[in-house]
Amino acid sequence: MRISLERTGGFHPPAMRRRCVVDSQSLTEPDARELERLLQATDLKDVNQHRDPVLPMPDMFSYKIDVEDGPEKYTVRVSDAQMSEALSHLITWLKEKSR
Amino acid sequence: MLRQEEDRRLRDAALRTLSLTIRMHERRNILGAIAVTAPAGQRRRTIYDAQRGSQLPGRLVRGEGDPPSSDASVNDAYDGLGATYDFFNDIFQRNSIDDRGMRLDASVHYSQDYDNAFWDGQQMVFGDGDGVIFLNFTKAVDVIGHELTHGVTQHTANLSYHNQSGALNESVSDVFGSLVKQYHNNQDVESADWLIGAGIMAPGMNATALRSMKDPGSAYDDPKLGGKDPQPKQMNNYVQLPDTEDGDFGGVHINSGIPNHAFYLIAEQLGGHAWERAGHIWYSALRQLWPSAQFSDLANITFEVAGTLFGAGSAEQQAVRDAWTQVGVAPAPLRRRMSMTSAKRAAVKSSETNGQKLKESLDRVSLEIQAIRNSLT
Repeated sequence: MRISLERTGGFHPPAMRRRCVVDSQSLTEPDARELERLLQATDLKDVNQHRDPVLPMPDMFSYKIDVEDGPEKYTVRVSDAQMSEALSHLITWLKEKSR
Repeated sequence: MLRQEEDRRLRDAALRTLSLTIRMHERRNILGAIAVTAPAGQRRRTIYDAQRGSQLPGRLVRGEGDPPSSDASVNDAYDGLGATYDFFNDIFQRNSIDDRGMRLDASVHYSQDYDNAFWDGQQMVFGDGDGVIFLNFTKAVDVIGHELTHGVTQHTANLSYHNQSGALNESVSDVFGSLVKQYHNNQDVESADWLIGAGIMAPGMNATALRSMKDPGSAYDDPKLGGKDPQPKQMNNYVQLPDTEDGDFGGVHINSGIPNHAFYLIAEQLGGHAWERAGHIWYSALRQLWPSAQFSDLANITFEVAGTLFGAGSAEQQAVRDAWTQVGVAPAPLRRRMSMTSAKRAAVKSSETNGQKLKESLDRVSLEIQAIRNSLT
C-alpha cells in the first residue's frame, strides 16, 4: 500500500507546503501493523462522505491523502476544521515515518 | 348561521394576523436583548490546553484574572490576546472582535509538531511548532494580532477569501497584527521591524520572518521554506495563481504584499506612531469595505477617508495617494461610485418601504374586517 500526504494552506502557504509518501512495503513489520491500525481507526474511505463543503478558512491547513492499495485507489481531502482525533494521529504518523 | 360562521372565520384570521405581528415585535425585542454587550474595556480571555490532541477547545487552564500558569505558551497566548484586545479598544474604541465584548478563547498545544496558528471562526488555535523550522506560534504577538484580526474582518468587511479580496483580507490582518506589536512595544515607524512572524522562526533558518511589509519579497530564502519569499510589492508583479486550496485561493498570502507595502509607505511618509494616522485610515476603510472589494477599492476608500479625517489635500491624503501610486494602484478621482454603504442604504430603504407597504395592507385588511363585523352586528 502506498499513501501520499500533501499539506497546503496555513499561516504562510508558500513556506508551509509539505508532501510525503509512505510505502507499506518498506515499513518494518510493527510499523506496517501500526499503519493498518491507524487506517482502521480513521475509517479513511468514509471520511469524505461526512465532510462539509469546502469553505476557505483563513490560515488553516488542508490535507490531501492519496491511497493506492493494490487495484484500489481513493483520495481523501480534509482541513483542520474537520479534523478528527484518529485522522490527526494518522497524519502525524505519516509525517514522522516519511522523514 | 352561515353569516355567523363567516364572521368567526374572519375574526380568527384577524386575530392570527395580530398575534403574528405581536410575535414579530417580541422576537425583535428578544433579539435586541440577546446581543448584550460586555462593557467596553473588559477583557474576557480563556486559555485551553489541547494537550497535543486535535479536539477543541481542550482543558481550561487559565481564565480572565487568573494568576500566570507554569506553562509559557499559556501565558504568551493570554498576553497576546490581551495586547490585541487593548490595541483595538484603546485606539479604535472597538470592544473586542465583534465590538460587543466577545470572549477571546484560545487553545495552545494543538496537535503534535504543529507548524501553524489559525482562527477557526470562534477561537484561536496555536501549534507548538516542530522546533526545526518553527517555534511555538504563541511567541509572536503579531501572529496573534493577525489571527484575531481575521475575526474583526469577519465581523466588518467580511472580505471573501479568494484572489484580490482574499489578499486584502490577509493584508488587513498583517497591518493590524503589526500595529498590535508596535503599540504593545511602543514603537514608532522607524523602530518597528514591519515583519510578520519574526518571533516564530527557529534558529539556523535563513529567514528573518515570514513576511516583510517594509520590503516584501525579502523575508526569507531557505529550501526548508520552499525557497525565496515570493511576495510582490508592485501591481506589475502580481502573482496569478488558481483559486484553489493548492493555489492559496489565488495567492492570498502572496499578493497581500502589495497592500501591505502601501500601508508601510504611508506610515513611513507620515512618521511617528503608525497606528495614529495610517492605522485610523485603514480601520475606517475596513468598516466601509465589502466582501468582493478589490485593491483599487481599498485605494479609493483610504484616499476618501484620509480626506474626511484629515482634510482634502492634507499631508495624510497626499501620503495615501503617493503610496498607492507607487505600488501601482493609483486611487481614482472621486466619481459617483456605488459603494457597498450606499448599496446597503438602498437595500435598507427598500426593505423599509416593503415593511411600510406590508403594514399599510395589514391596516387595510383590519379596517375591512372591522367594517364587515360592523355590518354583521
